[in-house]
Amino acid sequence: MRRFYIKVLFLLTALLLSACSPDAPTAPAFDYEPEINVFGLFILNRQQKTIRIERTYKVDEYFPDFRGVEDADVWVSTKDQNVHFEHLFNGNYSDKQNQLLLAAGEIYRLKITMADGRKVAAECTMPAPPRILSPAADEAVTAFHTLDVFWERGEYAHRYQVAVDDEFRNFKTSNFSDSTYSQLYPFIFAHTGRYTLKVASLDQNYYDHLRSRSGREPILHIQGAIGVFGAIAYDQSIFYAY
Amino acid sequence: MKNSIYLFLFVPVFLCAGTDGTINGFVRDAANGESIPYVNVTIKNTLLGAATGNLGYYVINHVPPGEYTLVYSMMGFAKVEDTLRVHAGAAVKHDVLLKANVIEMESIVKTAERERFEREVEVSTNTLSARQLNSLPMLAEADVFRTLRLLPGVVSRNDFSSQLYVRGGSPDQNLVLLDGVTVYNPFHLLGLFSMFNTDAIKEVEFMTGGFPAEYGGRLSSVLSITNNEGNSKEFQGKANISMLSAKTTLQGPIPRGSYLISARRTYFDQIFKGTKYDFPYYFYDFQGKVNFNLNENHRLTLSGFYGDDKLNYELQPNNEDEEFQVNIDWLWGNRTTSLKWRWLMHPNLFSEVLLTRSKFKLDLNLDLVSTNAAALAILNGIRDYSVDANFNYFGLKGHGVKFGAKLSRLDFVYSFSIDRTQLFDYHTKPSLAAFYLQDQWQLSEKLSTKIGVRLENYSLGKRMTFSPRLGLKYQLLPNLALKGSVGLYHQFMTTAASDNQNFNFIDLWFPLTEQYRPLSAMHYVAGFEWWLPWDLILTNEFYYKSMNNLLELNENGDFADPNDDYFIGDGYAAGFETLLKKSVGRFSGWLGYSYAVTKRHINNITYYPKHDRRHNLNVVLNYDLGRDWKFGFVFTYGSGTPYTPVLGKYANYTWDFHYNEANYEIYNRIGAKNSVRYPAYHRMDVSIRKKFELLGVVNYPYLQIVNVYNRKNVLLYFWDHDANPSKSVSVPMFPLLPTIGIDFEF
Repeated sequence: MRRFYIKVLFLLTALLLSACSPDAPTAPAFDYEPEINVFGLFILNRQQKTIRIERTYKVDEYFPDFRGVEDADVWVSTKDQNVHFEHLFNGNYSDKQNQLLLAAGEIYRLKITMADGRKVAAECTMPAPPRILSPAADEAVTAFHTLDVFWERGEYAHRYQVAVDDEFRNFKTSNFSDSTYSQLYPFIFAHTGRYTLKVASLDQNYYDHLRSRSGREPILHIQGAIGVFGAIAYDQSIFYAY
Repeated sequence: MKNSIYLFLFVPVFLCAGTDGTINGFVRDAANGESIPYVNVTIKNTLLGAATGNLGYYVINHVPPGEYTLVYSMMGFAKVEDTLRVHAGAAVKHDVLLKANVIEMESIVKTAERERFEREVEVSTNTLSARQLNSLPMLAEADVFRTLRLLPGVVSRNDFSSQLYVRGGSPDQNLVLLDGVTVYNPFHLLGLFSMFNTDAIKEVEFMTGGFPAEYGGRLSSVLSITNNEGNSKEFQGKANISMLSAKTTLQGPIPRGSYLISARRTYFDQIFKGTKYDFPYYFYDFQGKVNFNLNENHRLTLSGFYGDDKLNYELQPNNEDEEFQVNIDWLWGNRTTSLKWRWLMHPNLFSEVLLTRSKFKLDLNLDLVSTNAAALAILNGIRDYSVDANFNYFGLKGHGVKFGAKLSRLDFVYSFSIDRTQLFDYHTKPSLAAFYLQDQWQLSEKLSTKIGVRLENYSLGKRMTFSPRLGLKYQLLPNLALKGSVGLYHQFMTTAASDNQNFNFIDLWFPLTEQYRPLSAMHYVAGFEWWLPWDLILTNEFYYKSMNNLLELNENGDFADPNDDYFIGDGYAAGFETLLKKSVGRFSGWLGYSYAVTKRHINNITYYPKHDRRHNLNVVLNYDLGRDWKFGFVFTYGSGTPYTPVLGKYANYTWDFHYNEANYEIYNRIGAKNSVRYPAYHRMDVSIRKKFELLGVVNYPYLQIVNVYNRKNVLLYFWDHDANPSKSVSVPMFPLLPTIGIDFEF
């Protein structure tokens, strides 16, 4: 009987003593040739032309604050214009004299030539801004209630982004719509006060960029780089929640 | 039309009528009234005889008038001899009770396996008894799904999920039946445990491919769980306390029948109630079954399963600056109810009609209280109302004919709202009608076949499918049978799942809408079963499964485009499986190995899905140490499963309307989908249990240790970008986990 228990005890002890597995391995880093990362966004209302060029990084590489690519040759053309964008600082490029005019319905073609000869190309169509119908400017709406937002369509818009922010608390939210209607939920209007509503017409490039998620293959409309070259145009209004 | 149906049903019945008589009946266990399959019934001094089927029913046709002695024999039971008289053209019904020899209990298992080997035409089928389920080391308590994943052909992606990937198929391609009722989400605790209480189970039958025409609606496998009927002879009870739950199962006789009830509940919430360690979660389930014999030819069975998981959690703000208090109220669960009417219409025609209702509901309410009051509500549910009629016909010599029809009305609900504002409200009620006919036909002494066809009609898109099935068995030697199967399978519903997801806690089921064609698969299986000395059984199988119209959730889907919810694609799975099994003796268990390749081509990407585990080895052993001590051992090895590597990172800019400037988040730049693999998975679990009797109660205390050598198997990797340079983090699976518990029998 005693030998039997000793056998059982020995078996269990041996198994428990073997519980000395090393720590779990961590993910290895793989070979990766960094790519060009472009953020190009033209905003009609502001006549704002943002073109920023960076590179991507190996996953285990230091990610610097100053990572802009400074020596790219950047051109944007339309059917009437061909404008050179000069480097400003830290990878941001601009047409210094605001030569490039932004207009609804215009097609913009981006061409980038990197110092090492790599080329990037993309094009986008500027949508027309929507016109917010409801809530009307300075309208008072009921707090803690769902707010229906209506607008008049903007030509060439692929989708719309509806953004609202509460200036008092820096609270912001946004959602998307494929029609001329959206709803904002009661929790957004938890405070009474002044709100800013923006409804933006998005071109397809920027909409697809927004719906691409981290860790998934992004939906790209740009050749030779990752990122986006897109266009938006928005309308905004102020309203009050009571 | 109605008359032609009656003709179809009854003409074969009367064709066999003549001057000869028929002897038929049920064979049951004298101890508890449970039916006994594979009992040999012979007529002494003649060549006439039969064996009982799964329901313990036998029929011997073409018996000339006269007085005969019938012999009922099965190893492990005392032989019974009864004398009876057969009149010309008459049917004699003779039910028999067999008494088990306690010392020969293992022989019953062995004989049933042998009879099944000799009589059935089936491939890729494994059966597990309650005894086997309860004897293996498991986390906290015995679990059906965790045991099934130790069989060849079955892959599990991680320790935290009980979901099964069978021969390259995804979990929603498995048909799960509880006493014939389809169950849609058979899990507790977000998939950690299956919902089936093993104390109530009589037998688990698991078909990993090539299943016959009587089963349909899924592409990959059939898991049929049969609960005990309830002891019709005496009261019997079982109870268990484990570190997970407390449960009890009671069964006993009622006038002209029997009952079984089984209940289980986790108890941590009760132990910590009122303390600062308040545990906000529990699950419970309740199963019941009542059998009632109306007369010797009619039997009614009412059974039900009711189970819920409930999470009620209040996340308080850590300090006064935080605005939100979050209340989570999450309820999900299954309900199944069935009424079965078994009717012995004629000695050669036996029917079972099932009225079933299966319901799954997930109801999640998340409230943000304090300064911003927001309420998010998700409701997902599926209801399945079905009528299922099955007929067995024994009147043709050398044939076992089975046919039936099933009509299902399904009701899918999925709604999502924020602050009572309905964002999404999906509600649809498709119906599915199916008819099947199959025949197991003894073509010659050595060659037999199971041939069948299944027709299905699905209301959305008015889809009609035709699914032929063919199984073959050639008895090359008395102990060696060659087997093969070919079949076409269709499926009309799917879950919203993507191969990119590392976890899939709850399956959200959706019916295929008009724009999607039914999912289909073609199975090809070939192999052999060989009975070796020392009670060893060796099974080898090769398989190839092509899959078409597979759907995968499009995670980047455009909310405005109803046609891009899913990607459509094809795939295949191929492999080799070997299983060396020993069901009886001091040493029992199995050694299973499989080599499998699974590939999919979806959205113009060809990849190995996350469950493509090439090598799987499972060693399962039970050893009777003597003196009522039993030792259990499980070792699992699986080669690494694929994942998508993170190669790089980049600043992903978007326009911020609030600050009117571009902001960025660091996004991962990924490599080719599932192009690298995690390290191999391996784990050893052990258990030891002792039997002793105290005050008339038989006790089985046990100790189980999961992951004995504390292997740090990798669940997933992620990169922490808060660190600069980013840091790789590995999330491990189960560590070493000892658990204790005790079973009681009274």
